[in-house]
Amino acid sequence: MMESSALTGSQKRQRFRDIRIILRLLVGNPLSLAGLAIITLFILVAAGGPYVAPFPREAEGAPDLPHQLLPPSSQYLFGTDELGRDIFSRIIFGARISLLTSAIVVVSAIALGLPLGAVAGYYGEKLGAVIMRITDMFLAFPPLLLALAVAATLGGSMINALIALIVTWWPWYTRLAYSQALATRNLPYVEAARAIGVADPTIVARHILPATLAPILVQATLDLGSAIIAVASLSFLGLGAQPPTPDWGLMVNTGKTYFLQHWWYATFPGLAILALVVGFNLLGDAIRESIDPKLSRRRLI
Amino acid sequence: MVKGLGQYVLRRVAHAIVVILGVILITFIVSHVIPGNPAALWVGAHPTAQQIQAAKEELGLDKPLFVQFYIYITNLLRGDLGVSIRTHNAVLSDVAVGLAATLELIIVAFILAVSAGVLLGVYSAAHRDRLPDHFGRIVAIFGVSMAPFWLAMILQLVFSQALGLFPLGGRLTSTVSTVYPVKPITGFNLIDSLIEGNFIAFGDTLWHVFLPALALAAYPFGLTVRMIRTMMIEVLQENYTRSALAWGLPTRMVLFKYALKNAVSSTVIALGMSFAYALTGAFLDEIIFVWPGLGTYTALSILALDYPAIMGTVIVVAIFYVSINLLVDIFQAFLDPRVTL
Amino acid sequence: MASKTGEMLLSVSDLVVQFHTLDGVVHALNGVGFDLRRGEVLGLVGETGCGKTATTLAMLRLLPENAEIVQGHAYFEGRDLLTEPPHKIAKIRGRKISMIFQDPASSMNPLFRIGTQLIDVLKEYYPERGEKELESIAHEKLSMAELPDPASVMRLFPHELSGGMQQRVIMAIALCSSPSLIIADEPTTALDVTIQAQILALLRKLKEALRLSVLLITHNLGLVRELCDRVAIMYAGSIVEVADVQQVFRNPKHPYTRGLLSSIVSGRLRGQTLHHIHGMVPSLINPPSGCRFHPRCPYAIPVCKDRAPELLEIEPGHSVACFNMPKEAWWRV
Repeated sequence: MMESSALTGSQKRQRFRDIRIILRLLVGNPLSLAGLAIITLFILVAAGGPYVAPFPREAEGAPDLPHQLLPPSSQYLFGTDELGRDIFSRIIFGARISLLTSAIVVVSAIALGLPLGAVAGYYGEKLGAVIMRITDMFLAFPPLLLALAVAATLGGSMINALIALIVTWWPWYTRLAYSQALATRNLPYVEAARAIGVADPTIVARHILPATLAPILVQATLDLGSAIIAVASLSFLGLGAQPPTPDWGLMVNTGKTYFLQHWWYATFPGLAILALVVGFNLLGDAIRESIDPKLSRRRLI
Repeated sequence: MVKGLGQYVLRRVAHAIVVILGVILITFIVSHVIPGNPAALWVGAHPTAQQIQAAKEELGLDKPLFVQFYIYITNLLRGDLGVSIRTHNAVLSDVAVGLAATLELIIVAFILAVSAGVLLGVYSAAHRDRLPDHFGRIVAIFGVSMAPFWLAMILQLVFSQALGLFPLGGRLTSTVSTVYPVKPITGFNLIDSLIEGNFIAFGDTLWHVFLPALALAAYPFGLTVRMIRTMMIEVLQENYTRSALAWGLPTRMVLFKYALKNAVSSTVIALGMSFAYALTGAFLDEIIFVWPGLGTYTALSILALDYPAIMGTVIVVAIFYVSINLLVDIFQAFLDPRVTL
Repeated sequence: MASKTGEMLLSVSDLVVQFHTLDGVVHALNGVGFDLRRGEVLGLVGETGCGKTATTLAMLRLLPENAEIVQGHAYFEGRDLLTEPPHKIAKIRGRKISMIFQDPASSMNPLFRIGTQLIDVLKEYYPERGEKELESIAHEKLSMAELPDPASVMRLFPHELSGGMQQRVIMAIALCSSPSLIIADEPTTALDVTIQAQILALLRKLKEALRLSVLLITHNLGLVRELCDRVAIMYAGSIVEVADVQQVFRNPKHPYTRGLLSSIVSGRLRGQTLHHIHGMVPSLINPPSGCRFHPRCPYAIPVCKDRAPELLEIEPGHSVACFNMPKEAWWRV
């Protein structure tokens, strides 16, 4: 290999400065800080679940019939459901499910879609066109609709819902990676690498893929939030989590029947969804603003 | 310039047709290839051997795959989407009725979302990083972060149940629909009632559609605010904005006549995407408010394991969505002539 | 050509502008001052980044939000442009002071036809006139900029015109209200050489026919010689020399000016080493102390590092900011 991979001193300094600027923008901005705080809180809660929840066995599904449908109190912070289970504990356990499932969906979708898009963008012409045609066809479906069809075909379960969502989401990353790869492919340093004989796969791995990282990172953060809502929506329709799983979407679904007379049932799981998704959105926005050079230039009005 | 637009339209239409074919292919694969026993799905719960045999013949399930696909497509072109297990109607007619109702809901929601969203987006961009901007961004983030079904429930809880300001659900009060019925001409109550001068039904429908539309509007509203804000900020930094100000044009005109158009032409794509979310959001929304559209239909179909209905809905909605995107693309080309180059 | 003795149109003094960026405070303008008289063309010359554009943007208050006008005055028709309230400045922009920017392609909104943008501007200036009248005024202005078939041009979108035609349209817009002062920021830099010549000719013709006062920003000394009456040379945020065009080319005093002029390549220099000014333009976040040119100046003396020299008149119409000027000038301080 003829190209040098060591950074010169001034390049290292530049990168260090860039990282510092990005960090400063991330942490100095109150909105992004709030997003980070929220996500961290939920992660801690999810990790510490069994130790934090006041009624862990109820959270897993053990009924407590004498205490059915009780309003929020000091003992049952968010009230109880129709089987007497403490909603607060169930929400805490549900955090783990939400975080895990959304991470699985997003990471898998990226693992599938990113390489496809990078390859399509780099090799272009026939191979790229074919890949992108197929991607377009998947993208033609309104997001949840295809997931709905797949989940309905496979049968209602959490795993099937996740599969359905991965199948629906990978094209977005392919398209993102594709346009980035197209833009990077013709840059001088890539042409130079080709000219000195660097093998194609190495170019894709070394130069194209890293260039796609920035927008993918933004998209992934935002998608973690969307994935939570998507999983919750599928569960809400009965195509995702099944009882007695303490999935937030499922809780809202079950709560649908009772909440008009027992307002706490659906409100709190939904608030949990809202809070966590807001956290991801705040963070994603902040990342986007910090790496987008266009947004930091001048303002005239 | 017109010639450029015409060629562009032709290209986009051709592209859309290819995509629709792909959509049909994908739904075919999902419904015929993936399941272990497609016939069983098609016939429903507790099928008799006889029913399964009949389904096998009708769908051609014992024939090679591309023959099956051929049967599938020809059925589609004839409008035969199968018969609903639950309602025993042709799926196509069920879906047509439901689609109109759902569209009515979505369109009202979009009108609310876009008008409010544009105003807040421009306002936010013009006061970037100051207090009004923070307010706008927070509101927008909450808009896109709420699970649509949850917001629907909260609105229903607060405004219908607790405050009694709006009906709990449905599209028309039963008394109104008996005394002042709406003749289904277009399938849109709001239009049909106006055509006949039936103002009572018009008002009643508005009263019923408001809360569900509000719940549905949250996501596109948030998306519009964010997109308009981002695009406006970019546009406000452009040289041509600086020129316009240097020419002495008033700020209001530079913002709302010029900059907005530049921002909108990119936002239109985002609105197309949020239409997709609105479609699926409408499904969930309708369930809460018992709005007689595709969402309720699909939810009931899922409960009844009515597979033909589910797949029929999916394919119709998908094709519809492709068409909407096509229109959006054409509209964008109309707004921004550079796209046709 | 001696300097015209027209009345004072624009008088800028002590202009200090800073930009607050993530990398630190950029000290862009360091006490800029110059005068422009009615009917004359003043060239503001300097390398990229020396602050020429910032000066003009400051006057029209079009600086970005992270810019701060720390101090200074810019008197125009009796008012200080730097302290006037925004609504008054909006009335001056385009009407009394017109600005032409560097890249004509990006200076017009790509989504609106030329006619739309032109008429909108005219409506602002002549609110009482009707649609038809405004249209004919538009045609007249386009013809003034030597655009054939104004009616067709009005129907086109900016990207459908060539660079030269775009710049003519920009000039037509600039002339819409018969402004007292035109600021032209590198009007030919983004154009092909042949087109540059055409625009140059047009500028000269307009200047003569309309007796325009022009503040011409450029780094192109050839343009200066063709168009300007007087020249102000800028370096790293300060004006270092002001003179009539002839004086500058025949008798440049400031070391920077002399370096610039010696760097001009011509056939006479065949076989000789090309001259260049040693060193690089300094960063304005941490500018050199005292005279900002001193690290590169072959004539630097110790005081140059401690204090910044003022612009002093060494002969009629010729001012220089340098401690090395003829000692006689110092007695006039």
